[in-house]
Amino acid sequence: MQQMFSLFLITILLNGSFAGLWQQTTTLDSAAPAAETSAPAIVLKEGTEIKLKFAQSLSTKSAVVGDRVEFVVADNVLVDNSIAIKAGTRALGKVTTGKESEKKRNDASALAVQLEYLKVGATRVKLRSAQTAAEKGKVDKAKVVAATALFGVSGLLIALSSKRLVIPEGTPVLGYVAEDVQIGSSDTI
Amino acid sequence: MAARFAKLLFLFSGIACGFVEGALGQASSPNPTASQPIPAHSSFVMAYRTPRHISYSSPDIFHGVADTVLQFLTENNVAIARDPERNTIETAELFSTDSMVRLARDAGASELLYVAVDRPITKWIKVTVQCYDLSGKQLWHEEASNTSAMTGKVGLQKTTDQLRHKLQSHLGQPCLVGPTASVASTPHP
Repeated sequence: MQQMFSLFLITILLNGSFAGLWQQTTTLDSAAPAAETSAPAIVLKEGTEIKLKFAQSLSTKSAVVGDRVEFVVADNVLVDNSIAIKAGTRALGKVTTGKESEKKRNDASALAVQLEYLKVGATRVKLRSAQTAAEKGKVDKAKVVAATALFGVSGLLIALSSKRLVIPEGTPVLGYVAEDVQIGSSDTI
Repeated sequence: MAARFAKLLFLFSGIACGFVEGALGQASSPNPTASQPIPAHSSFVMAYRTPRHISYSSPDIFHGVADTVLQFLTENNVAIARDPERNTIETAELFSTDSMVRLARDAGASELLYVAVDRPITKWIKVTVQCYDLSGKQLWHEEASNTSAMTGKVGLQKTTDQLRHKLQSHLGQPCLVGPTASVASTPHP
């Protein structure tokens, strides 16, 4: 009788976990078609230009390598006449050249910022600052000149000066989508 | 024969129990991806270090003051809204009120608590705490500083004690209210 009782217990335990696993699998299976049936997504192509602006000031006095830098999208980004990225969307970058440590009291001699990503809903859109040579022919010459003046290969080279340099909030910056990314329709607007 | 029948019965009952248990477990288990409910009142904390503090004090003091304020909030059950990307922002860069309010809103906060840490010529340290609503209107502010202490360490201790005492008087007011408590009316400056 005792043996039968222990067998009963083992059976309950084993089947309980199996049933849980089965339930989980069926839940995942049933979730997949729901995602497929959602409205068509917008694809942001690699190289799409995004007008950004600094959402904070930045100075050689305080910028430390690795510090996060806040940007906001200045203008709506349109894809096929629909808004893919709304103006005001937050973007983040980081200081790549600046003070090595926040303990240093002197100003950094150079300042560079690299754009990292922006978030559209739950999707992260990777950004880059520089424009590849292959694309230069496609865009407005004036824009290329402006971008070249502002951006270095690894980021945005701001200054190489002994004077303190301050980039005020609102300073415009051009960014580009680093790789093709699909934005769900629920992510837009 | 009876024993075999009993065994089979146990096995089937085990399977049935297991599935019921699994299904119930699935139904009752919280979805880890579901977003946490945002409390009715929560404060987004931003700490700013002035250029003079960079020049004449140490980053440890700045982060220490920011930690003191956060500790005060935690001790008094004030709901703190965290930025999904940066948690609590402690920076030496200037942000406009608009930018800070936008970050607070994105973090799901109902108010912004801005802590500025300065090192004026005549004082060991000066801490200013300002409370803003999401329209950018300043609701209240407090200052704590010390001039008389013999050493900077004592000056810091006296300032944080003074700050705690001053913040105590604002408990229950915007920026210093618990997650479910109602906001007491506050005299606007």
